[in-house]
Amino acid sequence: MTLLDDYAEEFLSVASHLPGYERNWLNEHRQASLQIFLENGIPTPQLESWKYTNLHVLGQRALPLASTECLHVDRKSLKPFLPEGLGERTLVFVNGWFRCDLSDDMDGAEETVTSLASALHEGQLDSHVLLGSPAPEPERALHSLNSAFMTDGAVIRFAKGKQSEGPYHLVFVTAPGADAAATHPRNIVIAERDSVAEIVETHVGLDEGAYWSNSYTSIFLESGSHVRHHRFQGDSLLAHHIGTTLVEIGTGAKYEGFTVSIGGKLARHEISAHLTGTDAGCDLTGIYLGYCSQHIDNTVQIHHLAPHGRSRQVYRGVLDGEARGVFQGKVVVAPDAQGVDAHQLNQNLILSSSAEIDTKPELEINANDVKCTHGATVGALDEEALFYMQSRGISRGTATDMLIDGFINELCRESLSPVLSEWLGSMFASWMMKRHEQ
Amino acid sequence: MATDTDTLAATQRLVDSEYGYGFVTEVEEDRAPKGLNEGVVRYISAKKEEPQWLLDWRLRAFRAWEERYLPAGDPTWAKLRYPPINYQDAFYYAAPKSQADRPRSLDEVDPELLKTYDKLGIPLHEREVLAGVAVDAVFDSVSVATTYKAALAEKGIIFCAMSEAVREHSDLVKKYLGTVVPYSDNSFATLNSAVFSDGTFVYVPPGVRCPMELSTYFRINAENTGQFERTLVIADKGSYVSYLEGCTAPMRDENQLHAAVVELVALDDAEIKYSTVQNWYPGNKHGEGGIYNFVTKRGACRGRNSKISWTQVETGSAITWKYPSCILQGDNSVGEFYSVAVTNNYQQADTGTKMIHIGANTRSTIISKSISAGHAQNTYRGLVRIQPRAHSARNFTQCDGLLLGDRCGAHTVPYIEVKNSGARVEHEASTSRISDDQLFYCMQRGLGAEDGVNLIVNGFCKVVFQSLPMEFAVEAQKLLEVSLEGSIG
Repeated sequence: MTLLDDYAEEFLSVASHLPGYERNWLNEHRQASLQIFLENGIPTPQLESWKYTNLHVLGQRALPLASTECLHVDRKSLKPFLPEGLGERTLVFVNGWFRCDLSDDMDGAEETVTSLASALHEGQLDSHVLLGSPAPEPERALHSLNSAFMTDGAVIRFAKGKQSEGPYHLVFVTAPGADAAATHPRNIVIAERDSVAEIVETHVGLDEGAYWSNSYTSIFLESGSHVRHHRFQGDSLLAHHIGTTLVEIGTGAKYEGFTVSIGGKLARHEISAHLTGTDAGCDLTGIYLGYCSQHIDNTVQIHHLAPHGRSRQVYRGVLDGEARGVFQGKVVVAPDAQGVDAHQLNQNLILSSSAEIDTKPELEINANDVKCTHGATVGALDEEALFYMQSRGISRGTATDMLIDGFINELCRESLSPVLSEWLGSMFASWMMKRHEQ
Repeated sequence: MATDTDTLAATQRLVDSEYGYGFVTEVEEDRAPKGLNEGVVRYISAKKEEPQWLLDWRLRAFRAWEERYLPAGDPTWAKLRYPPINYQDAFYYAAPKSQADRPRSLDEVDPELLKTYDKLGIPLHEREVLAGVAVDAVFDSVSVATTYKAALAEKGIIFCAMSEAVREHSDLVKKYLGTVVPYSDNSFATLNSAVFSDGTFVYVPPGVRCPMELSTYFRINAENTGQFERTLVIADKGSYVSYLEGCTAPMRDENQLHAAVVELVALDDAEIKYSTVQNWYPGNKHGEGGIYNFVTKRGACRGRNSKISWTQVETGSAITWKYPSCILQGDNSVGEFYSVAVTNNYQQADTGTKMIHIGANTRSTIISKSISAGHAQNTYRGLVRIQPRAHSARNFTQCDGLLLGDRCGAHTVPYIEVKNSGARVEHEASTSRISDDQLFYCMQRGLGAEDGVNLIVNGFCKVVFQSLPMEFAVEAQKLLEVSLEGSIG
């Protein structure tokens, strides 16, 4: 039997356990999505947007949904991933399913917060408008797989004109013993008109399991809203992580995305932002750190569909050992989207002679009254800076760490609250320790 | 802007002005039958009295094309749109009839041919005396006049038609042909390898600095004849050569295929400078007709301290598909790419370069300026690859786009692949239009809108023009003005 037959069979065996099974439209949506996945299969490097990321491991055999039985996860084991001072708005998902017992109580919240499973089950999402129609492109076959198998996630609606009091923290945990299994979490965030919202999305593994996490988050910004979205990916070093964030930004709305990738044997985070209204803004910041034989891919697509949009991308990567970093950034300006101002910058530090970086900053401009720039740099640490510090009595190792720290923490300080900045700082510090142990 | 109404009329007049170099010279021709098959490849080889090894090489290429590329169709990764090419609906060989007894001096050259050069503005005599440029004029496929041969021969420099080189310097051709662009490299290069008609061969012996700029003017003539040039330039140890290539073509309605291959080899301490001004028929203002220009250009810096520099000014052709590249094999070798690509009306250009750093301390510079107007699409596509052994490699890339209309597109697709921690790679790009402020400033000082735009565009391209040889820089600047006529919006 082939891989795709296996997936078809797996779907048949789990379909009746998936949330919303009793709703016909949803079953049709899942079936249609599965069909698209089966037609295209796992993306291969022959596809331009997968040129540098080879998923042949995922193509070897179909991975079943991760089990939900006998999971030993408690709040204590999650402590490293729950920064103190972030407020009591944490939703925890284990192996792709919401865990009420590990999450904070949301009853008093001004926002409408539910788990995707119960939203589908109770018919709160009564059509596939918010799920999107299945995408036929072969590049997006894994989105279709997520749509077919999606289990749970958060559905948050920020009410019109309201300012959220603190960030919602969505924690996706893969429990020990999930080897060769997959999770397909799905989140939907709606920021209604003139609302101000903040979300933290964390993906982690509790042991060094060889699981696959295939997550999908869609965020809709209605006119005048402002969403800050921080995404931290620290999955197991044997795991595959494919994450997709789809953002739709309306008139005068602003999306700020901050993404950190330090985990995964193979990790890819793809952001696709559509600026559909005039004066929309999109600010993306990314940090990726890789060592050993990690492969970390950041793919960004910004579509300026309306006039006077503004977008910024700053991605910085540090690669050590035999790690490979990939950055693919694309800015598309539609015809008639005049007055667009788009900037893109990708900077990479290579620390070892076996590390590799492939970067492809792309511009596709179809309107003339625009200001678009992009830049990319790749290099080692500045020898002169190292020498300067060494001549003042700092060891070469410490000097290296200080320079790396300056390179990445600069972005955190600029875009994050002190609580998050400190939390990520400690993550980076432990990454640095692990790097030295190698 | 208030100036819009003033310039509209002038703009329209210029938009309506047609390509000035459209004419077909009536010269009797010798043609291979229409279509492409093994027989045609054998016919071409037999016509040119080629040795067996070259015929075998052509046949290998033809089979690769037939088996691998023909079923797969043309590559689709480029941002180009055109109907599929019917390769069976073209002639693959056309040569002026008088080939058997070739003229020894200009007096013997077919007067019709000389008139053609006059129209193109290449008076050979004048050029010989005044400019000191040796011209190997390729009329369609066979070289018919070569000048300054004696002066070059004195230094041991070989500068001749490819077909002549195959006869007279077979060992050199055999040693280098296809070593930079293999016969099965890509579909267009493979096609060229099978059916190449003629081209230019240059060999500069060790330690010789070529005393003049070598130049080939060639033009496409004869309706429905695809032109398949093959150029091979070899700079032996410690030598230097500068080569100019420029062309215009007669006007016609049907799309014409042009698939040339250029190979450059630079050995230790050698330098090759290769400059191109391309002004083939771009099609009319509705996007009908025009040349399909699918060119494979690649240079190998084989030796230590060698250098290859590509400069191109691309204003013509309906479709340009061209990536002059450098393979930096030798330690300390240098690759450069300077490009101005102008597209107007419905022209499409997908052009750029590849810099493959293999040796240590290799350096490369890429400066690309693209200008789009009308409904044109202009794409920069480039690759910078630093291989693991390329310690301390450096690359600097700058590609800027200028948009002169609200219906055109400018795209940048750079690929950067770094596998060495000691490498330093920088890439920067920007896309914008001429600001109203800039234009206002020019007009306030008495320049017309056209002249203002020309001034700004010339400034935009200056860094590339500076790297062109003098004669070409003037020509290129003029060409740019003509190409952008009527594009102010």
